Amino acid sequence: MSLEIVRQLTPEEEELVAKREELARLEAQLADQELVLASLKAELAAFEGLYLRRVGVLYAELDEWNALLAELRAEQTETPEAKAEASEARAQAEEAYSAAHGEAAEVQPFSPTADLKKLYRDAAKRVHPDTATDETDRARRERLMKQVNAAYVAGDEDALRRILADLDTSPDTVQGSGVGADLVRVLRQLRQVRSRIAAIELEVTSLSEADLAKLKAKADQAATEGRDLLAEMASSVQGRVNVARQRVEKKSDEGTGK
Amino acid sequence: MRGPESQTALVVAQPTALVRKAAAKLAKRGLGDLWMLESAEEWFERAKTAKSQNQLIEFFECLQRTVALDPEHKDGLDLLGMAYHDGIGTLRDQVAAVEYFRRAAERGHAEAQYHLGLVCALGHGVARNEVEGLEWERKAAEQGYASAIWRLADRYAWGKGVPRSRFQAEAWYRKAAEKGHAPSQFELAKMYQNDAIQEQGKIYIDDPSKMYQGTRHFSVGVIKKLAEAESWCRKAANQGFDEAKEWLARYYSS
Repeated sequence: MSLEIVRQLTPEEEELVAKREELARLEAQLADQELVLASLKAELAAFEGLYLRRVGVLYAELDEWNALLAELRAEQTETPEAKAEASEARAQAEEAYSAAHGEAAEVQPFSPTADLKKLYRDAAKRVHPDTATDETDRARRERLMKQVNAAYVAGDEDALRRILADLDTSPDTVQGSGVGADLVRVLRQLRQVRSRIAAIELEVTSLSEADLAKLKAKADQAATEGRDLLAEMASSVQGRVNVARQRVEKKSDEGTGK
Repeated sequence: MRGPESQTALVVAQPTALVRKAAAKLAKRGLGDLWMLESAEEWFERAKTAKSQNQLIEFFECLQRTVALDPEHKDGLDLLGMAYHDGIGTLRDQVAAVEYFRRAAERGHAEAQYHLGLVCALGHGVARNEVEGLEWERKAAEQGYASAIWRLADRYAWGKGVPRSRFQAEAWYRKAAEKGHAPSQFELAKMYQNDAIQEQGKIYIDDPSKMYQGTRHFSVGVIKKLAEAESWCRKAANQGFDEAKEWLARYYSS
């Protein structure tokens, strides 16, 4: 933009230009943050899948043997305490089973390519709900953002390209009339984007402080030392499984022996 | 309306809230158990330090904490067995010793298998059972635990609990010797020296006049055997094995 051929801007127009630049900067930052968040979520989900498949299944088995043992005890003693213990152990076994053999355990390793990350950033920037100008637009963008996130987690580059291509053919929101109205809209967008960036930071922090993230950090640390932490955990739980199984076998022998 | 929505129907199976909660619980549980394992390891390290500083009661107490936090801690279980067996930092309790040796042995700990084999064979804290003792000893030997290999080799050499077999004895002695086990190295040296003497004896029986001709008539086989015997004897002596040192001085002083 060369200043000679531009007429003198009014103060409102100058403000609008400045705010639009700031908005563009923040939108880029927001897209980066969304990428960080989406990647963190996907990595944690992938690690959770791995953890559940390698260690979770053993906890489920351990709980199953413990539940069987409690049920055998309840059968033999028939006291209300033993029965309560048995039903509690059974509930825990079912819960552990549902986690270890549920959808969460099916999540596969996540390794996004540079292309996928770039596509995600571009798409997030284009469709982000917090850059919406009105409620209809916002609803549409929220739907799109969900798809963008899902495509990213699934590593589906084609889906992201399709979303971007469709955005190119659909007209962007019509600009409002008058500098004053534009300025109000940009200010509102700025506020939304800022608050979303802050919300993402909070979410990233709380995700990083969750047990799963702590476990992943420990596993990553162990891996740098050439150790397989999940294998160590699995072998420890396996040892407890063996003990629990032997107890059940002994108890059921006692039961039939009588 | 032809929107991007209709084209990108992504079907990603989303875990239900219940599954999420259950999975989060499992993560918490894993983290807690991991903390116990790590603490157990810390107590085990403290136990080893205490032992090296000869603080035996602390050694014993640290070991107890170790196996309380991690009931699968094989090294801890074995050492606790030793502590009970020998009365280190606690009263001697051979029955408890057997229990801890057994727990570690059943989890595949070679040294504990060897220890359990010994107490079974000796009947310490358990009804004497040579067959079970041999079984555990063999398991430890198969895992490459040198002392167990040595004992097994001895059994074959003398026919204790197994049919006497010079071939098996030599093979097992050699296995332990190659791991740097000094008593096995010395046994091997004695074995080869005996072989050489016997072979040379045959030659003298055939031609007694050779007895007065010094070493010039030693056959290649005899010389080889003697060289091998000397080499193993030296290895054992270098490790400070007294008998091997004496032999070296007596036979190979040159």
